[in-house]
Amino acid sequence: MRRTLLEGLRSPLTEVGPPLDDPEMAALAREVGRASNASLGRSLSIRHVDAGSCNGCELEIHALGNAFYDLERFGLRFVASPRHADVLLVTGPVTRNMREALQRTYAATPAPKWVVACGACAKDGGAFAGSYAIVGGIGEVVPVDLHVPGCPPRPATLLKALLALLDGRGR
Amino acid sequence: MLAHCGILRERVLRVCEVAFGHRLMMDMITPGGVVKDLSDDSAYAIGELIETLRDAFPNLVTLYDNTASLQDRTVRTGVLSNVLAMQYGCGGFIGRASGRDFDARRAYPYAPYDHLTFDVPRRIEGDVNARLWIRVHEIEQSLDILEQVLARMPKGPCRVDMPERIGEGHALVEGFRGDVFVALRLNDDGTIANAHARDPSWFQWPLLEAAIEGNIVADFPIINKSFNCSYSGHDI
Repeated sequence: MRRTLLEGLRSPLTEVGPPLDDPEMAALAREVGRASNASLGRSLSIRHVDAGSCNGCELEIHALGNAFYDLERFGLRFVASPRHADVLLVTGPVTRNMREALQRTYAATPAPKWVVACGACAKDGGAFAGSYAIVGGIGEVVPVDLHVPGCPPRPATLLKALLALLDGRGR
Repeated sequence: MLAHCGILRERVLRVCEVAFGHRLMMDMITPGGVVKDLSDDSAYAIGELIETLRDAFPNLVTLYDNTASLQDRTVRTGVLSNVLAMQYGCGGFIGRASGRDFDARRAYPYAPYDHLTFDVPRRIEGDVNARLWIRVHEIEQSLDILEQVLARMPKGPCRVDMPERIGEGHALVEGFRGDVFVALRLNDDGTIANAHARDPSWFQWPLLEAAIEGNIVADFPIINKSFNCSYSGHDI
């Protein structure tokens, strides 16, 4: 068993993080008003909130944990409660049913805190814009610090966004 | 094992992006066909991926099969009875792990499955272990199907214009969670009058409640994930 497990991981699969001058990361960093490292150093605790997503974003957020992206090596980790979080990573349009839950989650997150809106729906409702069942983008309900484009965003883009948030320019 | 499966999954998604332009292949199927034709390079990349999976996957399956501590968690855990699976018309690997012998690709064959050869694995135990084995066998079947499709790919356009027609219709297709049902009615001007999409999870969430009964709390996550129901699918 040990042999099988080690053999499969023999050549390192983890990819080098984005370079400091990555244009996509620079563009994301320009959106961030205040970088988190000034108050929090090199680590971020992230609480993911599904406000009505199709779960496409969830699949890609989950992929951040695989051996290729290995999110935790950057000091980024997911936590199980907003009370433990620095960042709320919110996916989906905000459905009417999730509006209050999102507001309460935001209220339960200790300051300083950041909100990252993940995906096209999180910006303005995306494919669900105009539906009777949704309020709109995340910005309609809680203040958004950074929006990550994509439907869903690629894990590499998500990683760049979180690193941009960390110190305003990447690493 | 999670790390290994995660690696294989990422490899699949990367080939999907190369071949179809989207990692999750979203918006690739459109009325009348698909939006992008498969290039020779893409077909080759998929062929290579199949080789990689055929090489790596059996070792992981053996690992599961030979590790008593894993089996200890899965065998006889979260049993879904055949009676309930039949009563709820439970589709997908959940139904097939509880003895319900149904696959929309075989029961109501539609292209391209009407010309393909594949097995529909079935077990009767209905526990987490049975659902896991069904999924293992379905991966093997999927690789076979992919090879058949690649070998028989016809030439010609990948999309045709749809005839303008009003009326009403419904369809049943097999998704990975089970049979997806869609009913659609059009107005005289071609706009949608009524639409209903029924995700397989509709009939699977209630059964999860029955399957967890009598199990210890620590086994809930493993039973839940062995069902792998969709939240958003249920909301449709």
